[in-house]
Amino acid sequence: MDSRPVYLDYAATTPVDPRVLEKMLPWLTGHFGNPASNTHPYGWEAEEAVEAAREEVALLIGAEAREIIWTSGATESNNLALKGAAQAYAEKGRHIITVCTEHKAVLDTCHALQQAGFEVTYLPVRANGLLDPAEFLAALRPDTILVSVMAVNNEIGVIQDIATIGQVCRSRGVVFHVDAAQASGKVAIDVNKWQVDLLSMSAHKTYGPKGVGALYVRRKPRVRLTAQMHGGGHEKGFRSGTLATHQIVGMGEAFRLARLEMESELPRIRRLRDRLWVGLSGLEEIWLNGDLQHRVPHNLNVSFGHVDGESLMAGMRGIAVSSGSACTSASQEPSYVMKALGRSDELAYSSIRFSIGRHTSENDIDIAIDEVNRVVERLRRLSPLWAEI
Amino acid sequence: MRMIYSETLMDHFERPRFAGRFDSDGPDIGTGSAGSRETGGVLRLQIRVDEQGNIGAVRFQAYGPPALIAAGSWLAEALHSKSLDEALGITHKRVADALALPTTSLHFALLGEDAVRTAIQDYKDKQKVYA
Repeated sequence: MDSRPVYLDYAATTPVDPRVLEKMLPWLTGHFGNPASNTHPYGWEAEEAVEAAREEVALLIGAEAREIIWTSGATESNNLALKGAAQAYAEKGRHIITVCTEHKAVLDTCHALQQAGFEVTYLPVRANGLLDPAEFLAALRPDTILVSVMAVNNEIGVIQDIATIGQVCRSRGVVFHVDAAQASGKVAIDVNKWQVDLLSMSAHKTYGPKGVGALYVRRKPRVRLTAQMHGGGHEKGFRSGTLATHQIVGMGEAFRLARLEMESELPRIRRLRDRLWVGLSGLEEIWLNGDLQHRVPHNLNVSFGHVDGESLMAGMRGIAVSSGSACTSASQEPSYVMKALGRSDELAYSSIRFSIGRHTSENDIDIAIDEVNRVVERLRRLSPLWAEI
Repeated sequence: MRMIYSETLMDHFERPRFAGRFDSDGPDIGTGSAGSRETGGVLRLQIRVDEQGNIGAVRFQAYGPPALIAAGSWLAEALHSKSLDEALGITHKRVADALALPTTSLHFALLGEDAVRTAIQDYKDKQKVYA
């Protein structure tokens, strides 16, 4: 019997699906060859497995297999995409546009590019977490070379209107990068409909293993990229380093399952999410963070008024969730995403992200509803301020 | 979040002693408050002083992190049946030591000491009026 809390933090990471693990294991022992060894069957079979996985990743996003580059994860993909494109197009211009609610892997990379002499515009979002297209259009300049917008926000789960931004970028000849780490298996991705040039992916948010990811790099019209990892010239020179066959096979299988099962999985998860929201809505003074319509079904992010965020988290020992104060863990700063929505420090600190996944049951949701109601009511009863309302 | 709370602290946080409030108008009640919502925590402490001049009952309420809730609960227990002079001797250091507060939470022990002092002062002020 597992005595740990109910896991509702699937946006942080997911367990490897047992079907994925089964596919991975042979590539660690008997079939251990280096995919780059082209002189013997050990290498050939590994290369074949890597290419089959590449095909699966491409299929989930509507790309061609040769447009997929393996990386160590979405952080590396974001670094390669942003630094690689900025460097490759630096003679054309020095201006980059992104959004203030992006993941740190994008924001910090942009900060590094600023240090290197690039100029970055960080667009604000509306109170619902969505980008204002007019604001984006106004930020474009003749020297804009690169735009980076995440498909799905990691904290509040809102889905940006990627296709609209993609269309503008294509018409202006600006390279468009999308961080899709939180999107794979949760929304239908089509790099051609979206007119995306670069797209970052991660395996471990979609029931694959940690330590592997991919970057989509468009071939037509061709996007140039300066390599960030030098060595043996693997991945067409974009990313050197021996390929981790077992990890790559795992990502391929995870993305294959996502493609086949999304349609049946998403409505089930949406029902669970809606059940959770209904179960919490009885509480007074609670606030939903982020738009409810333009949102992945897995995510619910709620702020609880008149409750201290740290006490709320410490009190909820029966569920494993993320909080607006723990996201930037080491610091005591409230979540910058919550602040971007215009939330007060107090509501930013008391925000809780519930993220639901493949193994979440109705019973898990009911445990969460009971736990949150119990702790919020207890803390409010204890508060001298609540009594005065 | 992990490992930063002592067992004693978590025990007081999970099972606060003497939580609640007295009618602050009572002549035998002293009410003290410290902190503010804006600075991350409010502690309200009330004492009921019996005929012998000892603290016969205590109530506390707190809004803030576990350290402050635990400080309120620990103080409520510690003040019980103490004389007013003994109560004034309970310093923030004793609160911090008892709960093994991390240095980043020492502020909440100070709020506790402030709340005790203002509660006793409030009681004493009332005695002047009623005397």
